[in-house]
Amino acid sequence: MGSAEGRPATLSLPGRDGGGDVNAIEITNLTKRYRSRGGPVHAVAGLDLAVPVGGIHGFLGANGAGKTTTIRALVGHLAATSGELRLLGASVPHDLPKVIDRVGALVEQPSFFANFSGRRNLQLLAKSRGFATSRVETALARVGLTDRASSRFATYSLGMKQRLGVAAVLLKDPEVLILDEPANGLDPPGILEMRNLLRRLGDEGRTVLVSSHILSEVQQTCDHVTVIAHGRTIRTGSVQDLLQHGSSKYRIAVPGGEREQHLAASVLTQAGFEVFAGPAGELAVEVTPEQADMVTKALADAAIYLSELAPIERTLEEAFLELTAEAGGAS
Amino acid sequence: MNLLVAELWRCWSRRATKLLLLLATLAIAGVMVWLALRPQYRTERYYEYTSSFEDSDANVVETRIDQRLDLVDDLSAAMAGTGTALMVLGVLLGSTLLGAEFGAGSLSTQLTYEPRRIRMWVTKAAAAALTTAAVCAALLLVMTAGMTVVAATRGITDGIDADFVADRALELGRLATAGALGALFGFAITGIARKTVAAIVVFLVMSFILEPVVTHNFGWAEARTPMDALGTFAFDPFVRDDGTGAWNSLGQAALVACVWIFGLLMISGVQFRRRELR
Repeated sequence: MGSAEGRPATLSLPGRDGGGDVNAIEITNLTKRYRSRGGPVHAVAGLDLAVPVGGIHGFLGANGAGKTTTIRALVGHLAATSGELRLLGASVPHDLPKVIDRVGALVEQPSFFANFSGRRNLQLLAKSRGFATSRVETALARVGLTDRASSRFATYSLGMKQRLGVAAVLLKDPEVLILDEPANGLDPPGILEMRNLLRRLGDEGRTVLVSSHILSEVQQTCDHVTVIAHGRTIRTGSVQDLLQHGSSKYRIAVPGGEREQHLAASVLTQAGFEVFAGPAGELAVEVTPEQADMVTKALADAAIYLSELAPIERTLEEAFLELTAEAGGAS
Repeated sequence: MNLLVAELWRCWSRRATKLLLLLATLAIAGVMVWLALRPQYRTERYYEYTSSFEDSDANVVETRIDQRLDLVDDLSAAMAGTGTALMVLGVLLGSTLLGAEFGAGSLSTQLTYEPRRIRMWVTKAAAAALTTAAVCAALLLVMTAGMTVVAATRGITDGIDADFVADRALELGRLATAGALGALFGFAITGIARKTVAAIVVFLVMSFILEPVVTHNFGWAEARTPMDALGTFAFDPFVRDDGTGAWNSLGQAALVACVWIFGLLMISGVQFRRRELR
């Protein structure tokens, strides 16, 4: 597929002079309401999303949070009830045809003709846009499906179907990739390959929006994440920010051995701090970032000098569960 | 244009298209073999009585009947006989071509390549019609070629002139068009109901139950119903003196069929434009 070389650092927008720093994907106040017997149901309720150009952006949410509805609205598969959607600066759905060749999307389960081979399915898509058929072989090779490309799609495993879906996205050599659960059905080696592929795509300067339930994968792969719950955005930012945000647990290291550790623990307990054993059995204390200097002072007053006081990083799973639990309580 | 080329390629690549073409070709080939192998003449015997009394004498009369294939007469009759079959073939092809898309869910993947839904819809309808017309024309050409070979070797080829060729070409065009209109009808109904079987059921119910009941009870509906119009255009009763019913001309039947099919295509197109795809 294409390389990072020759790609514009900034996006050129349809109907504008020149380029400029702009979000590749912008969603403002998106609402999608369905009618049901029990009254209207909000699948998405005022969601905002901004994905900057370049890098990998995770899109996280529990089942029913509105991820797939948002992605389907973004690629024109359903009409939003209200809100504004922009892809590469083009308004969706009206101006989507102007940028469709620069955007690749895999939405839910990849759907192809069951009796056609994987290769034939991709060739049909390539023909529909006038792409050279050589791109098909490149895309198949990139997802490791060349050997089975002549087999009928109906005979593919779930993981192979998923790979073909990703190949269909790569066929366009897109600037923006929107991938809904791309690791769905993949075995561990397949997940590893997918992770490496996503990283390469990000390194090439492409923008990748990836929704996933595999939070450890997102943590390892994504630069930024947006967490949604009940159809609303509840947190967006870099993965590092998300892991550290609200963190109130600090790891403490004091020179010496076990005796010094016990001494420091009793000093902090007497000073009113909550002391416990950290993930690796180290001494840890729960304070707000603003109270961290008080820990230092209490120990120094007892002639114990810290060699380390560092926040204990949560996993993305912990951060995600905490955020969604807060959102659940708030709603 | 790229989209149409891709759609035509898909239509031709489908097993259903190839299977229907193969079965029809085999059927034509079977008839051609039978025509080539059957005796050129047969004898019919009947009794000629000398008086009207039951016990009168009877003479046995033998008549030699020429069974040889006469290309001028028999090709025209054979083409006329295929009209209704080609229209039904068109309904089947048109409905399966679109029904397979709904069955596979492949429309959502295609929309990530061409988000202009009406353009996609029109292209798919055009591809279904063109494919069916080409299949019908190919079958008629195979039949014509087979009959020509049989007539040239064991039959009669007298009377073939430019007018005959031009008339058959026009007939081929009409029959291919009838197949294409059948395909568009099947396509439109499948687009509304989202299932191939629905189009076939609607086709059968309209042809054999609904339209006969409606036209029987409401005189004004005669010569205005879609299946009757399509059947009349495919069969062309005007040149065969089989009775024209309420229809005045082939053109009238074609016009009524086109108006109905266009209306159904509009409804299915609007539905597709608004529909949420999964």
